[in-house]
Amino acid sequence: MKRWELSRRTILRGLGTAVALPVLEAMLPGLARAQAMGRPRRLVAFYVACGMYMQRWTPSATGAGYALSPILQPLGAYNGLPSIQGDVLVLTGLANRPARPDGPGDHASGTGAFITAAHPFKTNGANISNGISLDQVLANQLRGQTKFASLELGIDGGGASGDCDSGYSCAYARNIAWASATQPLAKETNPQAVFDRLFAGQDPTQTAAALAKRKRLKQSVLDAVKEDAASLNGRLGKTDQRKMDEYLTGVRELEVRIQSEQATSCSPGVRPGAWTDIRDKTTQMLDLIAWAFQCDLTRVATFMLQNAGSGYAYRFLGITDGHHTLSHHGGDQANLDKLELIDRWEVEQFAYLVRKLKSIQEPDGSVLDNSLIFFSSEIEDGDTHSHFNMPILVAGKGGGAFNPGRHVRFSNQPSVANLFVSMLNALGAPVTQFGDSTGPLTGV
Amino acid sequence: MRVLRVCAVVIVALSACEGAFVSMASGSPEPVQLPPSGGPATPAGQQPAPLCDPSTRDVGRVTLRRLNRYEYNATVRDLLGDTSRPADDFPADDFGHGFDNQGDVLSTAPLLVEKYEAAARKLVETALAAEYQPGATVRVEAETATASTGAASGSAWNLYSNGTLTQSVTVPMGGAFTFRARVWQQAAGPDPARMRYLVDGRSVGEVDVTNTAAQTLTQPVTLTAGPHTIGVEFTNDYYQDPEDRNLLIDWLELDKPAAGTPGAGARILVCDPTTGAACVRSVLERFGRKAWRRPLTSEEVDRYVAVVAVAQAEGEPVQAGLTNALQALLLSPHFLFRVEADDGDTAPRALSDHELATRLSYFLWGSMPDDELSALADQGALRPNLDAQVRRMLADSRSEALVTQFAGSWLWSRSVDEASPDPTLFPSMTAPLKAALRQETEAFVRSFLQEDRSALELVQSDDMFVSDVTAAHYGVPAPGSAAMVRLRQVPEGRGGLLGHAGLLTVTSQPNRTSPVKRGKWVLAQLLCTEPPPPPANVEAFVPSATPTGTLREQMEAHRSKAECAGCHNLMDPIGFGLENFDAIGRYRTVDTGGFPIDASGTLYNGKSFAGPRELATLVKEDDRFPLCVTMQLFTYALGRAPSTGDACAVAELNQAFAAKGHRLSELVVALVQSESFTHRRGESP
Repeated sequence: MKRWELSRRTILRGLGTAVALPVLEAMLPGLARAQAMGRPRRLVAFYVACGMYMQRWTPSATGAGYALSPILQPLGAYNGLPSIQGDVLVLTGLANRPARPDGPGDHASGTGAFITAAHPFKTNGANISNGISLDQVLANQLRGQTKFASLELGIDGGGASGDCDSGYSCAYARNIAWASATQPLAKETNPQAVFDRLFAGQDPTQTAAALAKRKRLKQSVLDAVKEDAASLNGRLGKTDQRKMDEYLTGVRELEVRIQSEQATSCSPGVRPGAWTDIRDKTTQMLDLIAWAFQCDLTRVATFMLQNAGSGYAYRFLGITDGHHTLSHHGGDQANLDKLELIDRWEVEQFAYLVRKLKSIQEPDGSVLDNSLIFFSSEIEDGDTHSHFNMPILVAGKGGGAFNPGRHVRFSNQPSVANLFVSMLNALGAPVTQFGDSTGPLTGV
Repeated sequence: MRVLRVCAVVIVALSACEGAFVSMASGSPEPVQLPPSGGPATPAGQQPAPLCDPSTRDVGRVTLRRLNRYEYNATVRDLLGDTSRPADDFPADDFGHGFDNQGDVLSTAPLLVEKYEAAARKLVETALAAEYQPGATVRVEAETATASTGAASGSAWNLYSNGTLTQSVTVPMGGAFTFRARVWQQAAGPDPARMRYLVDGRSVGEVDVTNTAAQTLTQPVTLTAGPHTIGVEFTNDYYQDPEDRNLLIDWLELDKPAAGTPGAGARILVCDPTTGAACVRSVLERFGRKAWRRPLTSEEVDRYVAVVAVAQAEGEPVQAGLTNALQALLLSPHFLFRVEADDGDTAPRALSDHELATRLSYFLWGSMPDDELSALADQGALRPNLDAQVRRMLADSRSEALVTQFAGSWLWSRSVDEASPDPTLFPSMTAPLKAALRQETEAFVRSFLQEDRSALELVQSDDMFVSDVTAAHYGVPAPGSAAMVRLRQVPEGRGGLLGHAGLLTVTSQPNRTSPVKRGKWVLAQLLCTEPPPPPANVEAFVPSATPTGTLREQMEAHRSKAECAGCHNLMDPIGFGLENFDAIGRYRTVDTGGFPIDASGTLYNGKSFAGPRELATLVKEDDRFPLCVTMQLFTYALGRAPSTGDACAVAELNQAFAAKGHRLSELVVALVQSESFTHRRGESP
């Protein structure tokens, strides 16, 4: 595979200093490059809404070979599919303390803090503040090595009128990927558009000279608008400059993307067709993640099956109540039984992705072996809205650093951010601190 | 709503502090006190009482706003005549204070910039393709082309053995083309002649030529702008004397189909760019003036002329360079953002006429200024004509943005289409009915903008709008019209927003009504007094599967805790007053359990009502309602919520609103003429 035909000048012109380092590393021949290319590591964060019915989620035994709980049945031999219990860690007893809201608003703050383990500032307008998310730390590390630093995918873009959660901006309720404390990364919710982004316009017969010329012409367009932005920036107040920074970050990402375009062709699947409900749409999105990994178009993806406190009615499961209303189950067994159906369906979707990634072979194992797939919700139980004892699954070995196939119970509620530190380290990002972490999580 | 957390405070604010309103801005620490709105006019010769503390007055500043999805679509519609709605594919805009046009909240993700780049490319290519249309067909006569074999045969070329016939062409504009070939075969052997279409030496398609008389065959191809080689290849020659299979070609043609019609005033190519640099500059200058909503400086024009030069230096035709430069103009922050530069000055300043024209057109139209507005701004003559321009613009069909975007967000009618009542319980609530119920609210709101009715009638009126789609839902005879028509005799409980079935559906659960949601909607959207959300760890209300009483009775029994009762006593009576409407807004006198509805109650202010009509009367008489309309419009118009520094402005607007009979158009005029709208305070970099 041929990569990094970029001149140093192109890189320096295209990148701000903040993101220049890893790319320059990637330009180096020899060891660094071999390390970067040899064993690609990948991350998915998989979000589901409204918590879990914990009594039916948590396995009673710990260690390897534990008996799967009712909700975790899809991890076993299930509907004729092989068991993936050995590929998944079940983690019990981790807390996301920064997710606790100021007053009410657990769904939005829990979603904002989902993979930032930072405290979302309660605001409906100005002063949005959270933390950088897990996936973006890795994306920054890998930026320029693949066409897309990260993919942000989901099912529901968000309602057409604005009433998100208890004084929290919809930005917290609809996004889990955050490029910085102030910039949520909007997600793509149309599988066809994702397919086109990933695979359309590939022209394997294009000559190297034609491709290089195409890049120069595209760059001339970006150069003009960058000059506009730079000269404008000096004339703006500092609040407005933040908005211009977001824009410029986007332009720079686009430059990297254009420069890393290849004449190669990789299209493992066909363009998704129309969808009828979230079942097909979810399958399509998860397929796209797998294909993007297979073609090494990105190594980092986030997926939101719903938005914070979703009121989706799972009619295909025979449930007509909205999910959020149900999740305030009040201990009523009829409600809890319906929640179990929804929760198990969510785990089925996770299991689908895990099996899919497991089926894609690389020289040194499956894609799954080289990945970590984090699965959780914005809260623990839908009624108590707790941010302790979070329901968490982690699939994959992360290249060998993780030892899946077990149920691990932690005491004293260590931070989920400790898990994130361990995950980032496994995936090649040498961070020592993230969110409210106190160190890596031992025992994973 | 940071200000009010404790239910007791809300009760005090609602019952004790007549005229108090809670600031919608999260940044403002204190509730803002306003005197009662309206009231008797000040007698002549007497100084009016001050409305507010003038020392706090501030013209405010809005954070740099990018175009939201609606605005982007409307802008390219008006700029290019392009109605393809490219922004529908952009990520959803986030909401702040209930609107999706708030500067602080509109962020620009990398994904969005990527979509901007692709959308700009497509928009420009489509627009130019339409303008280049007359000269877009290229025909190559076969006998003038380059052949690897064969011989002329009349006006055709005979490929008598395997070989190619090619010709260089220059394509001025990239995009989709139809490749046509007028060909026939001389048949021989078991197979028909096989022909490949070639572009730049590669096969782009293959076809059997079965006809033995001339016929035109077609193949779609996509080409970039610039020089290409097109041609055909004969691949299965057959010769068994005397049988001889040949391929004969009359001509080859590239045809660019029409791809859109430029709208009025959207003409980009005011001259032929192949005539030289002066034309290129002129095209960019004129298009940039429209796209950026102000004249470009000569340095800025230079920057875009340079984009054309880069392409030409790469050997591209000038048209291809122009495409790039025009694309760049639509990717520039000056197009995507509504720029109001501070230039390091922190003092309040009057907006330039161009900035003001832009604020005005995006407020009233959700789109760019038109030629008339732009001309006034160019002449520096906008301010003396503001009143007349506002009235002209309100009469223009583009002011529909106020109906669908302002009122749609404020009243939640935008959400009616996405409401999902349980289809087994409510099979009649189909997508067309939902759309029609949204249109009902839109038609109702539109009548206030067009007919200068008092906005107080929004809450309660003697008319409603129905169509053949909604008539059965309301139990009225079909009016014989697919479009909304006004009904002067309204059924029980209807007339006014509180009886709009679409809004009643949006404020319901999928399978039952929600008095809490409905009560909260009235308080928050109509009275701008949202109660705080419930405390954590409260036991949720779940209606009984085998009810022994109405939903109301169950909820009242459930709500025994004092910390809940405080807030729910504010919300629930309003919702109970609307219990005559089921979860999709149909009128009923008994509920789903067969229990008779009790729609009477006592409001937060101690006033009692019996039924939805009397409830609406009480809301209509509440001073908070017109004040709330003022605040909602202020928030939408300025892209920020009113805060402490805006108290004077809001109070004055509210007074002007009352003095002009609560006509929305007068509120719009007053708002546009206020310093909050015509000025901004700067901020240091």
